[in-house]
Amino acid sequence: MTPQFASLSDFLAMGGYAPFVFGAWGLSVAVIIGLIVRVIIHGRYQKARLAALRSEKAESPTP
Amino acid sequence: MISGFANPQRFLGLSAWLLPVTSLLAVVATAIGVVWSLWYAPADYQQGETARIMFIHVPSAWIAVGAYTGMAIGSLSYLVWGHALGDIAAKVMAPIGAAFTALCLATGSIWGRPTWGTWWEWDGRLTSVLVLFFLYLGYMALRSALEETSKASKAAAILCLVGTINIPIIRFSVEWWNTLHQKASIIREGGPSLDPSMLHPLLVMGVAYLLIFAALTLAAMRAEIWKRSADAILARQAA
Repeated sequence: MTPQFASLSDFLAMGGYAPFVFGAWGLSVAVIIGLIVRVIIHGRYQKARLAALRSEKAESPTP
Repeated sequence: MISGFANPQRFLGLSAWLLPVTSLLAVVATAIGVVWSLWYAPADYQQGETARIMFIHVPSAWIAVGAYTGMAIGSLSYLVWGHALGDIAAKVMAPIGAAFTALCLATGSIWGRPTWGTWWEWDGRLTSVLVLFFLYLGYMALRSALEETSKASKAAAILCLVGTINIPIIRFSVEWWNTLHQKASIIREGGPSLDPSMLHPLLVMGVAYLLIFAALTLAAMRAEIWKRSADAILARQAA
């Protein structure tokens, strides 16, 4: 296991293919983070909605 | 454990600890995989540094196909045994699988430009994965067009199962139509043809993607169970 790049600027250059390599990696990171954020927001919303409905039901048994 | 997964309430209990464990493992595997792929894995002697796209392209393809297979298993268990969790799993896996299929197509296209000299080719593998993407979209469109009833779930499950014919087509497309996309280099007769210095980080990234997919699916299933419980309360109030 040896590092493949001598310096950070070598790494950022990616042998001249930086737009392709970091474009593909950046897109993947963005989409996966988007999926994570989406499920967290959706989950919190549904959990709160269910909790609100349940407490509402407990307060007024038969209207 | 399997029977526990068939009951939504027990699933909520099990997934309450399974989700954080899976998420933590996903973070660890991703951290190792990213550093290994980008910093320590060697450049390809023909493709140079562009070969580093492989470490995200191939795992996204595995998840694209794996998520659809998961949806098919969920759909089948719903149709045959009426397992509500099978229907819930299939429903929530669809947008996640579609996103990974889009990533597979996009990263493949970006990789194709410097190595093949083209962003796109109507090659058997590329075309069959594009069909997979449209199957995901069709499944989601069908579900959103029909109201959430057992009828909608059944129609979606049948569509999903019909679409599984595409899975072996994707797998064997590189054998049947010998055009641009390379043949299988991991799961093949005679073992992987990829050098261990690249195979090992690729497998770590594959595990990372699988764990990310598992965590996303568990979290989305929990949200869908809460949603259905809330909808059921509203339906009872309206009745």
